[in-house]
Amino acid sequence: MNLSIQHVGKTYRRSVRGLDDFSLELGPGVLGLLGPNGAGKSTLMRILATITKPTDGQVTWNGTNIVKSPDGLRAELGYLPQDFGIYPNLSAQEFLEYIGAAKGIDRAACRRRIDELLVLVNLTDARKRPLGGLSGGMRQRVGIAQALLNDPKLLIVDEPTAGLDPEERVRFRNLLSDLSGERIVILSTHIVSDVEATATHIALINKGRLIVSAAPEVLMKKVEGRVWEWIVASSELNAVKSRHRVSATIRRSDGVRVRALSDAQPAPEAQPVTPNLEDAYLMFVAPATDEASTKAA
Amino acid sequence: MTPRRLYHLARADFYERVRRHGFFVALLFCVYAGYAFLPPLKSRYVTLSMDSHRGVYNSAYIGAAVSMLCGAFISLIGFYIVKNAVERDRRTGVGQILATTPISKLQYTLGKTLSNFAVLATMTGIVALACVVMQFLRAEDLHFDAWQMFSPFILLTLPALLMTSAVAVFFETVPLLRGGIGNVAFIFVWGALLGGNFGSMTNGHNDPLGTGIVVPELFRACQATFPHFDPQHASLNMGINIRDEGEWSLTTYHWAGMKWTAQHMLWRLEWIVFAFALAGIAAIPFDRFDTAGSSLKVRRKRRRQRERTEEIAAETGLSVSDVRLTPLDRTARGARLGAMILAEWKLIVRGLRWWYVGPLGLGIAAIAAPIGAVSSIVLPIAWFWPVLQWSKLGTREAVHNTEPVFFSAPHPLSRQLAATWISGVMLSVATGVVVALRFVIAGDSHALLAWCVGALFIPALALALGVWTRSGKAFEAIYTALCYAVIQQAAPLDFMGAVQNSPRSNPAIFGLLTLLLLLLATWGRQRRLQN
Repeated sequence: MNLSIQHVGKTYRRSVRGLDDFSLELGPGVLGLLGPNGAGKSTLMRILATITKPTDGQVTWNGTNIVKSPDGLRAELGYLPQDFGIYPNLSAQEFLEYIGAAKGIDRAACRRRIDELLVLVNLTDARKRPLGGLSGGMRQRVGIAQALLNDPKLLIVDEPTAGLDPEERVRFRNLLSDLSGERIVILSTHIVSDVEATATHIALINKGRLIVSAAPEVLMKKVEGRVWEWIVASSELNAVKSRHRVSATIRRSDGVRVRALSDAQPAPEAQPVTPNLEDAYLMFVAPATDEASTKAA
Repeated sequence: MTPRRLYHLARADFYERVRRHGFFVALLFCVYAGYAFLPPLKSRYVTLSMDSHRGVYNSAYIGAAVSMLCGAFISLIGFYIVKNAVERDRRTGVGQILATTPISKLQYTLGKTLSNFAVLATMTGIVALACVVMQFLRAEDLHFDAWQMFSPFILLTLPALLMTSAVAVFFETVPLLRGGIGNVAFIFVWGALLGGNFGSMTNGHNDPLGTGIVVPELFRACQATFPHFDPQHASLNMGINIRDEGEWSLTTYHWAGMKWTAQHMLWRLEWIVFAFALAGIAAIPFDRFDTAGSSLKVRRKRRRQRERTEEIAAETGLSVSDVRLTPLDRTARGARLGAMILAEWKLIVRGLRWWYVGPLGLGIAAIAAPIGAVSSIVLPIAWFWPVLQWSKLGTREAVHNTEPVFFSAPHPLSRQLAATWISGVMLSVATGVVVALRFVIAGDSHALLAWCVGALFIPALALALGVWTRSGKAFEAIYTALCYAVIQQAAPLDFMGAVQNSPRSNPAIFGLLTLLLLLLATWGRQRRLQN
């Protein structure tokens, strides 16, 4: 099972580049795609989901070009888009039956799969209720169910935890981890903690370009020795922020505990700490991106 | 009321619309309209004539004639172009933001009316400019008089379009008229306003388009040149009148133009006041984007639904740890066109309750009525009844934002699009089957053939328009006009075999059109898939 993205680019009207020379090879596991808003994540997702055609490069699924022959991938694709629409007059059961027909799943197998998925997303009691009357979180769960309906080999989920409460988010992360055994899962988000909990591989994207692609531990190793914590007076916080990339601040009785990125020790009392994914993200994607990525490489 | 607030409300809405690709297409249509409204003397069609006479194309005649024609056409087409101002705010969520500002309901409806008007006035301006070019292109009179050319557009067309703008806002704020019912109903309102008897055509009267002001003047000028011309019994042709064979043979008279009187101004002012009053009245049913519902019954129903949903949401979370999904056998995947058609059919009939009374009653009428009445009355009504169901074909994915999910499923053209059309054909068959049986019993093979073509043509038209416009409005307007024409026994437009003595070639023509529409729909969907 292999998804190969080779030098893919997408130019929109008026020469706006949505994606630029993007290359990545993927095998089974969860890929966490991280980047700021407008980085090109959704463009890449839509290209991989065969909805948008790239203007440059090619994408192959098990050796088949998905632009020339999209139906091969479509049969094995599960896609949860960022803005997920529903038909308000259909119930969850009917909507999933409709999607099952669109995906060409055999009637009996489809019924069984729907039953299991409705249990999985805990919508058994609401299966006959019109989708228009469901809450945002419940609709999102219907979205998750439809993405899993055809037992996809490639599962693409774009901002999947939007609308879910914190408990549901944790459960969804676990679900993704469980599912990732024999399939490729691509999780696009800008919630770093979602990726940290599930991804076996991480790709950072900014301004349409792939900045770095590595396993989480490799990524964090690159930031080792550059993350510092120390306490500053509240009045000095702005000055610190202007000099360093601050990843977190916690107010305490004796001042503000600052967590910041810096190549050298930023203050005599600053102590090096173990980096997390947010630190790595900030190092590669924050405004001083070019400088940071050059240094890290 | 703050004029600045009104101005900015209208301006933002205006910019949002005119910066869309569709508006540019509408402007191109206006340029073409300016050209088409002024055919040469020897032509197969005329747009404005009295018996066999028309005025010389000078600034006055061009201005007056085109301003009336433009008022008629843009008030119809323009309604469907601008009737989305409130809906857009509702869909984009901007309305929720506006609802939290101090802007009043009256300011909002007035602002939207002005924005609608600005769009239609821009279109009118383009037609007027095209007329200037046309005067020199036709070259019947090369003396250009700016006041005579443009004053009819300002005094006749613009008040009519202000009316259209206000009517569009009114339709958007009344819940019943907001959707397809309103789109269909407007055709009848428009027909009544244009065809209504507002007074004598020879002595002048006040009507929305201002024909009652201009036409008496044209009659007088015509009579001065042709003494035998009798305004009392003259036939006035206004619109696109195509001659079956050969060209029209018209003679011309000279008309110096309008002398606008205080009475004329007062008449036009009445329509302007009426338009603003209607825009004000629209504020009464406007819900200010409160989705809680207006009627007590609806509120209770929604509250019960909400409570039940909250109960379920409170009881359940996302997953339970011991659920295991059965792997899907790869052989359990196939074409399943039948299942897709069934699913599309369910979408068509979902939520219909009292709707079935119509086809049932019409089915009984088709059994009981004489065959002539069955084909000319029952069939057009039976096939007009499902207009709002057909108008959803090809638009659902866009309206409900399910495109990403369905377009990433296998075979979106050969399976999904085909199933959508076939489900539409099933609706034609279900609503017209009794009529078809009557044709079979009567042994009328031509009527049966026309019926079959009609059953295929209607969903093809709906699908093509739906795919390209991503809205049901175009189909609702065009199909209503088509059905109206059929009921009025317009033989060339008889796509269903309802007009006595309609051309034998009609089934072949509409069959070919069906094919073209299906190709157009496929092409349109293909473009969406490859964006």
